[in-house]
Amino acid sequence: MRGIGIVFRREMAAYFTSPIAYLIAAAFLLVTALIFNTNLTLSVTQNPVNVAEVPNALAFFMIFFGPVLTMRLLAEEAREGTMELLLTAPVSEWAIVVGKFFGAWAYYSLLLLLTLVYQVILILATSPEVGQAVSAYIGIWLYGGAVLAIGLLFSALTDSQALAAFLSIAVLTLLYLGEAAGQIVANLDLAALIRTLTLPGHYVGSFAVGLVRFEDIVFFSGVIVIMLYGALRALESHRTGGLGFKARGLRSLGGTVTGLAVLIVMVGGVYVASANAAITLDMTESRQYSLSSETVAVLNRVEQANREIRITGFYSAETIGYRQLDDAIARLYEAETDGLITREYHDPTENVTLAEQFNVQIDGELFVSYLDEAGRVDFSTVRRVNAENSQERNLSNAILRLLDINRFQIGFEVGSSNLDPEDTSDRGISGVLNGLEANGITTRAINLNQLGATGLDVPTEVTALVLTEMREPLSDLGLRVFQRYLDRGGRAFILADADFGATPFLSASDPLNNYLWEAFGIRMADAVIIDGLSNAGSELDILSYATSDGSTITDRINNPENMSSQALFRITRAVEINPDPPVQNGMVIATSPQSYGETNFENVAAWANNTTTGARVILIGDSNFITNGLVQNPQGNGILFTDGITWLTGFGESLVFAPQARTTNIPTVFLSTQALDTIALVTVVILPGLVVAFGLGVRWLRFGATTNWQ
Amino acid sequence: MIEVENLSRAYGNATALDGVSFRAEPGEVVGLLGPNGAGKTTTMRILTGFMPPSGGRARVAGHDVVRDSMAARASVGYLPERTPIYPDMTVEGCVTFWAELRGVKRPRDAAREALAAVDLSDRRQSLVRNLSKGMRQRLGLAQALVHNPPVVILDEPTIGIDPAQVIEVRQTVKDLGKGHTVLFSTHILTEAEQVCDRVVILNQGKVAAHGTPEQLRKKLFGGDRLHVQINGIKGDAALKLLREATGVAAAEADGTGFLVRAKPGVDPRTHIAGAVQRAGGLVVEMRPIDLTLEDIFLNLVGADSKGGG
Repeated sequence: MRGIGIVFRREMAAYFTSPIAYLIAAAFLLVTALIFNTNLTLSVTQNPVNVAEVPNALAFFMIFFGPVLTMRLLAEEAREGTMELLLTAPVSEWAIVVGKFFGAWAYYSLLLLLTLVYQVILILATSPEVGQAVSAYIGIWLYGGAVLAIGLLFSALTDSQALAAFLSIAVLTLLYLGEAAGQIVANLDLAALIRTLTLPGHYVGSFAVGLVRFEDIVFFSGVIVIMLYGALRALESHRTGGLGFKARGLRSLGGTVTGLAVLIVMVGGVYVASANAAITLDMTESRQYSLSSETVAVLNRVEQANREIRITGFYSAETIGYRQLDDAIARLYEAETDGLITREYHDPTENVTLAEQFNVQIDGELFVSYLDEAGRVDFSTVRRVNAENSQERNLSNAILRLLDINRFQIGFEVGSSNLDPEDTSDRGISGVLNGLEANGITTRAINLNQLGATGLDVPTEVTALVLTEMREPLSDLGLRVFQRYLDRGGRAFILADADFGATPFLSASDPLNNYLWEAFGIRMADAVIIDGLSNAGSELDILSYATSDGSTITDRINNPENMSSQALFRITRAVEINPDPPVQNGMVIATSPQSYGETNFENVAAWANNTTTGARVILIGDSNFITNGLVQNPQGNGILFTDGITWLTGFGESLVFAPQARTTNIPTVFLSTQALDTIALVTVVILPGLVVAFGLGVRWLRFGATTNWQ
Repeated sequence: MIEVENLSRAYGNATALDGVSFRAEPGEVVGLLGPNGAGKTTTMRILTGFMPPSGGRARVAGHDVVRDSMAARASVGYLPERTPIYPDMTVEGCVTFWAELRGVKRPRDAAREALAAVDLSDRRQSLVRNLSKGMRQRLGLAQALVHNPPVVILDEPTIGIDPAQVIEVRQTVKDLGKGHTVLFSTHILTEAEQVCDRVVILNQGKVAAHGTPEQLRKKLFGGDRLHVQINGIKGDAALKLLREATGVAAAEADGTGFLVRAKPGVDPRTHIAGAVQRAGGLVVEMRPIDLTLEDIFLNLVGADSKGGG
């Protein structure tokens, strides 16, 4: 392999002494500088700057730059007759091919190094995702290596440089467009395969976003090795006579095909093995592609439960790009649990029946479920993964909901009125029940009075009780059952309406109201709230104005980014809170300062928490907000109920972690127009200009000083 | 130095070489002659390790070109038929590169020596693209000699350069013979005669003849050919007169003059001049014609040899 260094040095010298190579370098810098400056200008005070912008653009422009750099390598040797000398020099063909390839790759690497100027500018101007930039540069460096290897192969196949460049560009264009196979090919598996075979398929979804995947490194290295082998065989075919495409050693064709096949199978095997091993290096600062400690805790629970879980995804060919991003996370779950969690992807347009069984709503949706003993999806356990912007949190949440199936049971007190929980009309609360069921929480009807009459207690498995639509006080026996339940640490969600009947629920004379005041420092007042400011049309339609800061119940209420996250109550009773309470308590929702009532109360809802017994109570002056007609109108109503249940039961509390978004929150750039102009001048004009000047200098030194045109 | 035994080479179904055997000793300049397609270049390409033979053996400086290819390649200097150049390199850079590739210890010094040997020292900083064709040919020679190989193989080194340079190159090849074993190919018989100690003639992939140029001339051709132009005697009479002159084997009309073939070993020129003078005519031109091998095969070897050529 002595020759590699010699051939390499000659190629490098050829690049550095060729004026054309300097022009290519200048064009390379000009194109990247334009992209960089456009992105930088767009980022000023608006978007986060994308550190991978220049490498990403190079993924496209290398289609043209690559062949220009490689077309000369072997085609010129064949044309100028030096091939015969090279092949009779005492060096192996490998040395020639590898030396030439390294020469081109090294030149390309130098061009890449020059573009690091942009990263330096970014570091000076803002605080970019350096890890992602490093990852993108590693990626585009390997990507470029594969492009150059393909170019080298075509340079070996023909002795016309133009033809070599043309064929390389054609093939590279195909390989580039293949990334968008999903838009062309309807069949998901075929689209996925095509994507796997393209160059951008191993860069865009991984290196470019800060995720270094071992299989991508294997892919690019494999392409390089296969292409160099092809070039080697093409080079050897010079020995068997004939140049170019005509009649070149047909007998060795069989050997070449066999060799290539063996090589492709080997590379493919290593690729598949490495893809299964899921060896990744997360280069992002926010560790987007690593499992957080919270997820690891969830997965530990999965291992303890020791039940097989299946992640099922539905992606059509069009959303195949999302599949790659989601799978980058999902496969970590599989690896972390040693295969206890498995993943499977389907095309919703192909497997329509299956998609219906899962009730797929959107293209690109994920589900988690247990597997039955036969290894099939247990549809009674399917949990939908929310499609918000953090795959990991959503997936872990879904798995947690799966693990929590039947852990929580909510009892609905129905005894004192005609409440039918299954009523699907606007008055009914079937929606709330279904929502709970969908989250793995079982519901049951509880009749406190009946329990009292038969001398029974609230069953121990009931995690929380919901008292709603109560039209009269509990009976004495019923009240005792309820008190015993709370005293042993029970949880209650009590909804009391403004009721103008003879003996309303939680009136001043209702012993339950007194009990709540004594035990928890909260009670219902005999007053309807009127709010002149925070209302929905009528002063009696109270909108949540202030929310609690002492509990997590209202964290998602009144989200300034979501107008619909306010809670709305129609004809609301005030809740009284004892400022000197026996246990922790506080306001949940309050009205505006411009509200008034029959008495001067402003609280619509309150919470109390007896940390000694574990008892928790939420008291709300309205029960209608959870009915089918109002629970999603506005959304804040549903959120209030769900998060209230969550707070009461502790459901979901084991999973609280910072959002890890698919798109990172890189700081926006703050640069003055002058600074931008200076940067543009340096990168677009001066830098490429210097390279051109250098090239002209070289030309003058070599051509000018000794010119003897003959 | 060069041992070729029963060498054969096929391209697909076509046979380029068919059982060729010859030897070249140290200090010998051996010419490889033959019409186009005779197998000259194929023979050389096998000897330089560019392509493997289909059968037979070839050894260069004691190394088998197949089994010990690298050592064989290292002991050969090769100038292919198409002069190999890197247009964008300097003359010295080019030769230095080839020196390095062939494992020369001090490549730059070796390159300078080789350039001096072919009289290119003053152009060593020039770009190759600026050299004339003759200079490129000398550059080609320099690269073939830069590693001081025991065997030098030159494929038609005089093709396509002007006559003055042809003489230069022939002289260089002749000088080379003093220190190296030289195998060089040509299709011009006189060139072989001037330069070579021995000649191997190939035709249709086989050795048609071998020996010293003198031996071959006698054996294959038998005598010189002359172009004769006569004033004062009419065509038929002149033809008759020429045919009857001493030492003439045959004569025929050829444009403005006559083509005369001499008998082997005889110089008929004085006889022709005398005969013309006696008949009252005047010889205005009489010159020997350079023969190419094509001519030899046409005239002497016969139609069967021409057939497959």
